[in-house]
Amino acid sequence: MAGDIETRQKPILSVRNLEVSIRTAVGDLRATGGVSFDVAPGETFAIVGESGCGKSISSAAVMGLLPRAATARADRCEFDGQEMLTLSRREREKIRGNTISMIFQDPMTSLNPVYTIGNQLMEVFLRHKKGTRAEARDRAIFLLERVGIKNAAERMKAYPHQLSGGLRQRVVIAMAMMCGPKLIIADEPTTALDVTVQMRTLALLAEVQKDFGLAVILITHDLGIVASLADRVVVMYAGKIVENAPTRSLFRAPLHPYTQGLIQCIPSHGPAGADAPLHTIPGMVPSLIGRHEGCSFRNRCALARPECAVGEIGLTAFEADHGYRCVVPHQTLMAHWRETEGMKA
Amino acid sequence: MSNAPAPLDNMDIALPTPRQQSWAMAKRHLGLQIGLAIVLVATFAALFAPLLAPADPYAQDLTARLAPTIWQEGGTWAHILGTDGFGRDVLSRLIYGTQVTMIVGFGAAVFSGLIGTTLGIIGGYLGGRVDAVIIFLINVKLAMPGVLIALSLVSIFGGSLLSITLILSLLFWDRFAVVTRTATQQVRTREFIAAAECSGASKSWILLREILPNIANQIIVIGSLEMAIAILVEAALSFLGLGIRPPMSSWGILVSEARDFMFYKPHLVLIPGLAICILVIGINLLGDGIRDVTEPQGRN
Amino acid sequence: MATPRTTPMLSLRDLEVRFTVGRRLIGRPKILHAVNKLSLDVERGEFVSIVGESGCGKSTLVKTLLGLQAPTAGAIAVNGKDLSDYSRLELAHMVQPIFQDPYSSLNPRKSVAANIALPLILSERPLPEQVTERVREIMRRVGLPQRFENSYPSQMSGGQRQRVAIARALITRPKILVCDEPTSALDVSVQAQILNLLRELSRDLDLTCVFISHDLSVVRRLSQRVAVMYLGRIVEIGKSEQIFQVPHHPYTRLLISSILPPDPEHHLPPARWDGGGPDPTNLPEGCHFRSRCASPQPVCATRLPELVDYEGTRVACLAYEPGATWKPQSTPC
Repeated sequence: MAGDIETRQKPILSVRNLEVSIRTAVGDLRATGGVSFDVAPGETFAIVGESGCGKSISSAAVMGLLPRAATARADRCEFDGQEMLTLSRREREKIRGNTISMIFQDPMTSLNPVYTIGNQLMEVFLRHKKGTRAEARDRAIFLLERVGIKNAAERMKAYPHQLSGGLRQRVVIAMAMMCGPKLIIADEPTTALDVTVQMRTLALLAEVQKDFGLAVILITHDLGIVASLADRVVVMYAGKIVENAPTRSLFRAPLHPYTQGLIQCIPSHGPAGADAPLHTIPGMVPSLIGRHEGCSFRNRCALARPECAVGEIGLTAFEADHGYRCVVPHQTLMAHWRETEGMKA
Repeated sequence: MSNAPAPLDNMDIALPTPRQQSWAMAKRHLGLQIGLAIVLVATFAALFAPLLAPADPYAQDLTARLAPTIWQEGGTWAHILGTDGFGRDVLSRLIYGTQVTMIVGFGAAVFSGLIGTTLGIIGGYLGGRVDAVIIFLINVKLAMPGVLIALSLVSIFGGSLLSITLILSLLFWDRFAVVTRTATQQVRTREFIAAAECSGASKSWILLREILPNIANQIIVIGSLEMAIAILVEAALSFLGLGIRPPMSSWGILVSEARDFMFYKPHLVLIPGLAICILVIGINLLGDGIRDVTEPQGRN
Repeated sequence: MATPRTTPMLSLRDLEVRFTVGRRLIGRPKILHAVNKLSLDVERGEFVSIVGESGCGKSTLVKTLLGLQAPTAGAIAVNGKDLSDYSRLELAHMVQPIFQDPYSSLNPRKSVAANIALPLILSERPLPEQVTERVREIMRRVGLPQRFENSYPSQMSGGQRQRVAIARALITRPKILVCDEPTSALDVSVQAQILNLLRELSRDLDLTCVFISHDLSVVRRLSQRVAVMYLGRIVEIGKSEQIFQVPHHPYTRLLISSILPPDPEHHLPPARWDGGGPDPTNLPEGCHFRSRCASPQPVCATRLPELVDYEGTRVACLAYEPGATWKPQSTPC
């Protein structure tokens, strides 16, 4: 696709034009329509958007974890030089938990309640690596200590239900590290956690990533998490990437009206005081069933104009690595951002 | 606004109502359709037996005993499925037998459903001591050898249609109670129950208007299962001579009467046996189908 | 707050809710103090938020306020009358809830109109025309198009469902609205819509609101007063601006520093794991927060702090009692 932004470094994961559709009773649902992105080794790459925008289904497609009613196709979907969508189930299982690990919102989806955590950590290692049980045990203890669990050797004997939610999520992080992955996909990793625990868990994730030099795809709805953790961000809306930028650039100059609205409606954005109402994005996300032309955001957009309804809208480059999918020129978009921000101050 | 863009064309794709959704699924559900067809045919046969039956099911004709069926050599259109050992028309007896089979099956499912569901939702919703008593009742019931008790009760109270239906109901309520109790416990924790309580709803309102509609599909599924079992047990009782008394016709009696000719006129056993088998499968298909198309609506 | 005032709309006095957990054969059963000697007055028309993390007792408090859970000790008065003196229907007319999960708070087998009308039908036994009229009126009020009347909850988005729940809560024009994390299951952009709606409705209808949340940032723009709860007790309560600008209690500070603003200049502090809170079924002597506090003092282990007035807010921390010689450091998370 013209206008796509290529990163200079050879990406660890490269996705071009990923389309996932799901058969439903009322018609085909286009969960994602032509998603393209690159994840560089060692970077934190955030996919941000609201429910139903296609952020989780994109990573599920890469991992081959789609529900049965869904089909995925892409021009390219390469992890470490290997095309992912055409892999057999066995080949994919060799990758899962080994070179790519996943962390989900609910730690209990990754932990089996009937085995001790030590057992499960070692299991992951022994399944993928040719090592002895003693090596697996050493690595498990090392990683549990790394994620801040005291008396790791003792805790290996604990069952998941004996740990608090925050502790469980740390165990899941340790488990994701067992085979020394190149990429971790973290899907809303802290949404189920208390706020004070969330911050520590994110800080831990960032530290672990830096120590081991791995890439992280962070899937979240929370721009606060993106701002404090990610190197680069794509913003998704209704199955499409609407903006693609380095984190600093995105928050300094959010161009797409949806990105602007998403930042502004966060309760902690803008001045305090009981008298200012929160910024809202009016209306709601359109149905993804069937095909539709033009921009899917136009019914909620303050800057909408007739061109918005016509054709396929491509990604326009604002800076070399900052693109946005909107027909409105970036000067107008920036002026709109400043104006709405000014109204709040 | 003149420069507004064309609206999103699919903005107003209305999602179907739960009923429309169930209907759309039913139209594609082959098992449901086959099951429904079988049950409808059986119900129709039971309701209109006097009009459908080609002959009097009780009229004996000793000159035409054990007449062959239409596809056997010497078969005639007068007796499509042949005649039995007393020369009665098998087809007519089969059609009349549907009445007993359907009344016993349906009646037992409804009565046992009433008993079991009442106990189940009360126990599941109220919990505590009431629930403990109901669990005790269920356990007692589960510990009883059902068919043996049915046999002895039938031999005491006789094999009238009513007594058999009631006795079978008393035997089969436990599964309703177990399932509805668990289902109620799940529904009870949902916030709309708390919202109804906060609106001042009485217990009976919550049980009947809030909980019952949400577990209705499970009750129907269990009902279909119990109906099928009741039909089988009725057939077994009749076969053993403890059910409906001859000359009344029931499918179990047809099998029982054909015992003596089993080895040289096997179709006399096979035809009612097959009828039982098809109806039971049909009822089960229908129940499974209903479960599939009416499963709880929060499907996204 | 020494000003003479009218009867508060909602008044909690030394409210206690205890549960027995894990009955054991030998020894004493474990007691969980979900709500522990909690006192709070909410004035007519006031918007008060109660903030705390899981296990702080906020859900139990909600149930108790709604009359779904009997208090073990202490008293709740609604409009000057004890909660236990209300009949179910009278209480329903005074207090209505909005729950967390709009997917579970509506009966999926009933249409939107039937869901909304429930409190009205139960309490006023109106004519069918009146029901339709009142339902339409309240649907307009909460921003639900009339075409949804005969829809079912499964056909609606989370935000729309939460509007249905709000309409149901308001149809009998109650005085008090108890909101139990009403936006935590919603998307950010929808959350903002619902928060604004609640804010607007509470003002226009002179509602008294108790808003429960685990996230301080959500309540910042909403509430006049904020109470922070930790292990069944209020540890700090005061005017919203004050709590956010000058938080005193170390736990309030920890909560505020846990808010992640959409600002790339904001950096995560290094992960530091405190020992976690104490076992809630076996609370130690002294301050319950001291194992997580950045500057615990020996005296903290001796006495449980009570709420004391300090610069316009009320704080339960020994450092703010008259004569204390130290102030807690701001917790570096």
